[in-house]
Parts: sequence; C-alpha cells; structure tokens
Amino acid sequence: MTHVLTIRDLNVEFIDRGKVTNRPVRGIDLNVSAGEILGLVGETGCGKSLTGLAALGILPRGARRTGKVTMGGDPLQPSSEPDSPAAIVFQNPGTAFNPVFTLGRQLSDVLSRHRQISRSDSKSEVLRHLGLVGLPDPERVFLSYPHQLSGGMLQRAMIAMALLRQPRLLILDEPTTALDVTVARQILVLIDELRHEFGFGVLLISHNLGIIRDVCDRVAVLYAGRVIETGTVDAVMNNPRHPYTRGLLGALPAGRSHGERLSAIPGSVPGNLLSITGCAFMNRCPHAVIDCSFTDPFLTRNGSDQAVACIKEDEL
Amino acid sequence: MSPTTEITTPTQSHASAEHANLKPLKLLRQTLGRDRLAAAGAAIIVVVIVLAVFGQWLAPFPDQGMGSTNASARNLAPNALNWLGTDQLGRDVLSRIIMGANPALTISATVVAAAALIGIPLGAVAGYCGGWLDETLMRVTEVFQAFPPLLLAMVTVAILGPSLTNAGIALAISWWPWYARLVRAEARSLRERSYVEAARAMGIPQLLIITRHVLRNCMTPILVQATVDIGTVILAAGSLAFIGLGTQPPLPDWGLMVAEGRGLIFSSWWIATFPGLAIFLAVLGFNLLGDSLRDLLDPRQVKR
Amino acid sequence: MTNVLSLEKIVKTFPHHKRVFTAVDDVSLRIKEGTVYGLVGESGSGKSTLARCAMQLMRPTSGRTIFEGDDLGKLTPRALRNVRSRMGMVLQNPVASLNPRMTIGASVAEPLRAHTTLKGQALQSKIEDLLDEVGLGAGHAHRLPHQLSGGQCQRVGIARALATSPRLLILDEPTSALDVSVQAQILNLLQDLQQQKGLTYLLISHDLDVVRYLSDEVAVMKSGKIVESGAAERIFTDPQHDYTRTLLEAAPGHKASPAVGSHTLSAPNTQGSN
Ligand SMILES: Nc1ncnc2c1ncn2[C@@H]1O[C@H](COP(=O)(O)OP(=O)(O)O)[C@@H](O)[C@H]1O
Ligand SMILES: Nc1ncnc2c1ncn2[C@@H]1O[C@H](COP(=O)(O)OP(=O)(O)O)[C@@H](O)[C@H]1O
Ligand code: SF4
Ligand SMILES: [Mg+2]
Ligand SMILES: [Mg+2]
Repeated sequence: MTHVLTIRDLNVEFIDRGKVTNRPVRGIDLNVSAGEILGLVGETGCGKSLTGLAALGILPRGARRTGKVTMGGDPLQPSSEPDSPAAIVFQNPGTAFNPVFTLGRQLSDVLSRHRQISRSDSKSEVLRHLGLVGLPDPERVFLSYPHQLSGGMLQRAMIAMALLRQPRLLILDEPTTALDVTVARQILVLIDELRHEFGFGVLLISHNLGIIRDVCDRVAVLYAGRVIETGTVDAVMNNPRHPYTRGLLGALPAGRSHGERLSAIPGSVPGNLLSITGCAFMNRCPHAVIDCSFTDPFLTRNGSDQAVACIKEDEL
Repeated sequence: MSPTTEITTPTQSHASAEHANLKPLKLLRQTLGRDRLAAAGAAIIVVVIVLAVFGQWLAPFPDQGMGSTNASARNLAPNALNWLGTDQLGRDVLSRIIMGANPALTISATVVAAAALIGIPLGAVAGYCGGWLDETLMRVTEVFQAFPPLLLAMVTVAILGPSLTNAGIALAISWWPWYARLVRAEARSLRERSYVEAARAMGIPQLLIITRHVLRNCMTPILVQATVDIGTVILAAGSLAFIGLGTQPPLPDWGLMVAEGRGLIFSSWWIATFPGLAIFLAVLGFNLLGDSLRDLLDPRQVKR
Repeated sequence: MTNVLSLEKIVKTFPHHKRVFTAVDDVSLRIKEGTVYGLVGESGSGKSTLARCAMQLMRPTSGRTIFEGDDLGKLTPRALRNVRSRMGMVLQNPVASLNPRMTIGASVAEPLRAHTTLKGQALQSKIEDLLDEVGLGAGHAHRLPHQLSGGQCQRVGIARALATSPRLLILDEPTSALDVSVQAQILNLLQDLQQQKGLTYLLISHDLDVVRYLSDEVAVMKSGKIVESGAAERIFTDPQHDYTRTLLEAAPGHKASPAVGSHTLSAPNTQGSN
C-alpha cells in the first residue's frame, strides 16, 4: 500500500534567544498508508499535537523541526499552502470558525483558495460536502453562523472543510474530546466511512484509548516525545509489551469490579525533556533496572506487527 | 439552548501560570525585561520619584523653588547659572520644576489611592453580590461618570475653595467610580471561578471570600489602571492649577507655572515650555508603563 | 440504612431569552449512608446544577433538600454555612478550583479556620495529616497550584473537602480533566477513603466506566430528568430505558473486538442531539 505520510526522525525543539529550551518531540518515525487510520495515543504533554503540527509544518512560534516528512515521495507542503495534500481538524469546534461569517462563506473561501472552481460550482460543491458529512440540512448550515450550530454539527462542518481540499492525509487532533459520547461516536463512524470512500489516510490523535481501540487500524503509543510501542491495534491493545502501554491499559476502570484497585501509573509526564538520558519512562516504570538509566531504548520489531522500545522487553 | 460543553482535555500539568496569576512585582520585571518603551517609562517614573523625594537637595535654588523672588534676575533666558532660565519674578525655572515634582506626585498618588480605597470595596461587594446592591451602585457611578472629571472637580473646588488639598478631594470624587466599575467587572467574572464556588461549598464566610478570593485576584488589573491614572491625575491637577483652582502661588506647580508663563510665551518661551514638558514627560512615563503592563496582561493583544 | 441526602422533587429553572429554561426537572433521589450514588448524563443534562442545588449553592426553584435530617432550604445563612462543614465538594477542574495566589497549605487551612478552633502548630499538623492522607508530602504545603500537576491539585481538592470530616462528598466530574493514568490514581484514592471512613459519595460523571467502577446505585440523567435509576450492575447489564442503552453503546472502547478496517461501528440513533 502506498504511504500517504512518512515521517523519519522527526524532532521538535523550542528555541528562545538562540538556546534550545525544550525538545518535546525526539526522533519519531511514522507511516500512514492510504485508507488507513493510525492512532497516536499517550498522556497529555507527550507531544502528540506537536507531532501532528510538525508533520504539516505549522509549528507554533519558537519551535523548530528537524527530520524528514514526505508524502508519497514528495516533501510535504505546509497545510496552509494551496496545493498541500494534507488537512487538519482540531479539538475545539467552537473556536475554529470565524464567528462573523456564515459557514457557507468560510467553506467557499477554502474551496476557492485550494481549487480552481467557479463561484456557482463552488456553492454546490460546498453543499455536497456538507451533505457528505451527514449534516441533515446543508442549505440551512450553509447560511448559518457558527454560534447557531451545536458542537457536533460544527465538528462535521470542520471535517467537510477539510474534505473540500481533497486531502490525501487527514490529521485529526482530539476531534471528539469536546463532544458528548453519542455525538463523538457519530463523528468517528463518519471518519471511518469517509476514509473507505475516499481512500485518504488518517492520523488520529487522542488521549482516549477506547477511541483508538474502536476506530484505528494501527496505533503508535507516544511517551515523552518518542514512539515507545507501535503495531496493529489488535496486537498492542490485546498484548501490550511496553510497561507504559500496560500501565495505560491497566489504568482503565472499564471491566473492573468494586473494590478492585486500578493499576495506576505513579508520577506524571516529565515537563522538560532536555536533560533526559536513558529511558524517559524510568522514574515511573515498575520494571526499571539500573541499565535503563544509561541505555536509550529504540524501537525493536517483535514479530511482524509490533515494535517496542524497552530494554527489558524480552523478560516482560 | 446550546449546552455548555464541559468535557475538556486532560490538564496540562506543567502549564505555566497565566499572566493574570503573576505576582505584581514579577509582572513588572517581565514587562521591563522585554519592552523598551516600558523601560523608558519606568526610567522617567524613577526620575520623577527621585526629584519628588530629594528635590530640596537637588534643586540649585531651593528657596526660589519654594517661591522666594529675585527681582534682579527676571525673565533670563537659559544660561550657565539658570539652565532653564528664570521666570518673571526672577525664580530659577529648573529649581521650580524640580520642587514641583513633589506636589505633583503627592497629589496624584493620594488621589489614586483615595479613589481606589473608595472604589475597590464598593465594586467588589457589588460585583460579588449582584442584585439590587449592584444595580444601585452602578447607577450612582453612571451619574458621576456622566460629568467630565474636570467639570466635576471645578464644581467641587468652587464650593470648597481653591487649594491643592481641595483639588485632590475633587479629583478623588470624580475618579473612584472608575475603580468601582473596574473591580465590579473583575469580581463578576471571578465570582464564577471554580475556586470561589469551592469556597462557598466549604462554608467560608462571604466577607472572606470577597477579600481572599475575589480581591486578591483582581489586584493586577487594578495596578495597571492605577499606573496609568497617576499620570492622568498629574495632568488633571496641572489643569486645575492652570485655571487657578489648584495649587496657589507662590508654591511650585507645573500647571501653575505654565499658566504664569503663558502670557510671555513669545518673549520668554522657556517659562511655560519647560514645566509643560515636565507634565508631558511624567504623563508619558506612567502611560508607557501602564500600557505595556496592560498589553502583557491581555492575551488577545498579540505583539507583532 | 438511613438516607444521608434526599432530594425531593427538585426543579431548577433559569431565565433564558425571556422564556424559562428548566435545567433540572422534578428530580428526586435518596442516597444511603456509606454508599456511592452515581449520576451519569451528557453535558448540559443538569448534573452540576443538581449538585449545586443539593449543596444550596443555588436555591432550587422548588423542591426540598434533606441532609442528615435538616431541610437545607429552611436554614439561616449561618446555619447553612455550618452544615456545609458536614458535606464536601470536589469540582471538575482541579487547578481552577484552587485559588492561584494561595499556597496549597493555605487552601487546606481555609475550611479548618472557618469551622474549627485549630491554630498554630495544631493547625499545621492537621494540614500535614490531610495532605498525607491524600498521598501528598507535607512539602507540597508551600507550593502554589500552578506548580502542581492536575492530579496533585485534585488531591489537594480532596484533602480540602475532607478537612472538616464530612460524611458526604459530592464529586462533580472529579477525574474528567485528568489522563487515564492519573484518573486511576484518584479513583483508587477515592475508593480507599470511602472504604476506610465509610463515606457517602454523590459521584457525577459523564464517563460510564468511572461511574460503574465506583457506584452502588446509578441514575441516568437526560435533559434535566432522571430517566432511569437503580442498582449499578442492573443499569449497566440490563438497561431498561432506550437512552441508557444509547449511552452504553456509544461509550468508547466497548466493542469486544476492535473495528479494524471494517464497519463494525454503529452510530447510535440520538434524535435531537444535534
Ligand atoms: N508553545 C510551546 N512552548 C514551549 N513548550 C511547548 C509549547 N507547546 C508545547 N510545548 C511542550 O511540548 C510538549 C508536548 O506538547 P503537545 O504536543 O501539545 O502534547 P499533547 O498534544 O500530547 O498533549 C508539552 O509537554 C510542552 O512542554
Ligand atoms: N447559572 C446558569 N444560568 C443559566 N443557565 C445555566 C446556569 N447553570 C447551568 N445552566 C444551564 O443548565 C443546563 C444544565 O447545566 P449543567 O447542570 O452544568 O449540566 P451538566 O453538569 O450535566 O453538564 C445547561 O443547559 C446550562 O447551560
Ligand atoms: S527501558 Fe527500563 S525503564 Fe524503560 S520501560 Fe523498559 S524497563 Fe522500564
Ligand atoms: Mg494535544
Ligand atoms: Mg457539569
């Protein structure tokens, strides 16, 4: 299958007055194939969003990216460029639109910026996409202002806006976190259907393991700016190998009975990663040995569908 | 009705404190560090303060500064002895400007302090409690604000008689509503904060909630407002003196000096110009610092 | 078993565009001593409003709140303040529920100063005990909220709620702002405290797994009404109301086998939700 996104040794550094102040993304490798959903999961502050932004070349000010990002062989254009083959949808549907213009106007603008299309065709194209994402009354939505729609409807409109650009890659950063479960489920089903229909690849960023399990084909677990475990969702979720992945899954209350203790991961994500040597998970890891503080574990393939970055992987 | 969405992403553990939570001193340090204009403003303010405190010893002719005349040296242009010249009574302009810093700063600081002392508690109670109390207070402040401050001050001084003290009282009367409204707006938004709700749920007495949770967290915007206002009050007090309703001769006052020199502006331009410049610089200094503090506090204004 | 808290026919309306919006619509519930009562529902269903009515942080438009025999609606403000020392509340956003300018120690001391006569050394050691109880070292007492992680702030919130030894804790989305790993720490802590002290909880959450894990009884709320209530296991294994079923189906991570590359996902049918 063709890769719509290939990331090799991606690093993101924050620089203040010439000095590197933090390195929240440290050597990430990822592939997303056409028609595939790759999940990116990890605790808050692990570097998920920065990875997504860096892949598109739209980093916040003060951040610098190194490494190689390609899309089917071409270096990826920043997603703000008209011919970028990638689109991104953010978490908060409420703030993503300009409150003073109608949605129709904003979607038409995107269309005219990214595709050569006449004004009259443009409206029907926008309406078609609003219908495509399951909005019940596209004409009404077209004429509505953002505050007149619910969060779920806005998130659908965001996805329609992304689709208008006919992306080959769609990056979704916590697309359902601000939504209620029932609405969230509808959005996820929609994404699942659309990628089959259009064949674009999806990078789905979420801190919610349940969502990842439900919709992704493959998953990459991020910790402290590194992929520490990756593989098919089946393999990683049913047979987690890395202590961090195990910790995350063990922390879920689902299926636990009263009185049973959850296996919480002690401590919290390190804030600054500049001074880290060895395994970044060491201070929270129940299996840590002295070697972990010297050796920086790299992703090692284990069978065909799983790779783990832990020096004690064999013994676990 | 769209429901308030309450589901959020996990809290960023290492999120830096928002600016609004910064301690005033730290805020000041940050502002000065990154903003040249603010630093210039602060430098001017420091000079004004130094002059106000040590003026007596810094002025070349302290007694002339306080008003004693020197008939032999009237209307001298700037020269080696009188760097900024002398006025129509032969007094050294530089000395009078230096000695004028003290009354200017004293009155403006006192007026702002008085206005804040009246306005802050009223605003806090009105904003926190809401209801008829709030309504009443807001109507009262609107009445006060409907008058231009100078007009209100003129009426007050006309009743109490012209003097620096009365000008101060007059200005404080017209200034407190601004503090009341500022604090009320802050209090209304702080009242909805989780920690205020938590305090109520713990059965903390209202007065403590207002002082400890509400007032303590709106000190930074008050500080910004006060900084700008000190400059504005220097100008207002100068204006009152200019029209004869503030400081009375022969005491040194920048506004009064401008008034005294305005008849001679073409022949002896220095008499009115230099005190005017002093007012201008002092006001500018406080405005520069205050505006930079405000920019820093307001995340919506991104500096380019 | 006696009821610690009974809500009787609580109604709460808000004025909304010249009309009346009913946020809580005739809700009654009873919470037995030493049990955990879970309240689930989507955002806007009125859970927090109901909690505020239960603590009289808001006067209900009608209905009665009976807490340990007292009708809270009939108490004087002073008496109500005292009653609140016997109930505790933990809020959703752990960092925002602490005053940013007060040290952790000062925050925990606040209810103690208001309701006890503890002073000086006795007060300090009580604060240390409380912080210790929720798994924070005494060294945290001098820190400010923004110097702590979300999970640590929520521990402080719990310590503060426990300061006056209340019998009832109202937990409004206590872990919704936390990562699963930290959520597990807090859930363990809440469970330990409940079992050790025989506390009673009103646990509000939109997360079905969290509610199921801790609760003995559960009520499902929708548009201000309780649509179904009963023993927790019964609600989750044998839901009677359509809406309860919809919620259960939509909850993430509940498919036995994940939907890899197929259409095994089913969209719930929620009329009017958007
Ligand atoms: N604008 C920024 N300046 C400095 N550091 C930042 C900035 N944005 C993010 N970071 C750092 O990058 C890390 C990863 O952030 P992010 O990608 O947003 O995490 P996630 O999306 O996994 O929650 C954070 O822990 C933070 O320390
Ligand atoms: N103080 C208030 N004024 C007006 N409407 C409110 C107020 N508090 C809550 N509401 C409304 O009541 C409904 C229920 O809110 P809430 O109790 O917070 O729901 P939940 O906690 O279940 O998410 C929402 O539609 C909300 O907008
Ligand atoms: S390398 Fe060591 S510290 Fe890191 S996860 Fe493996 S065992 Fe734990
Ligand atoms: Mg993120
Ligand atoms: Mg709520």
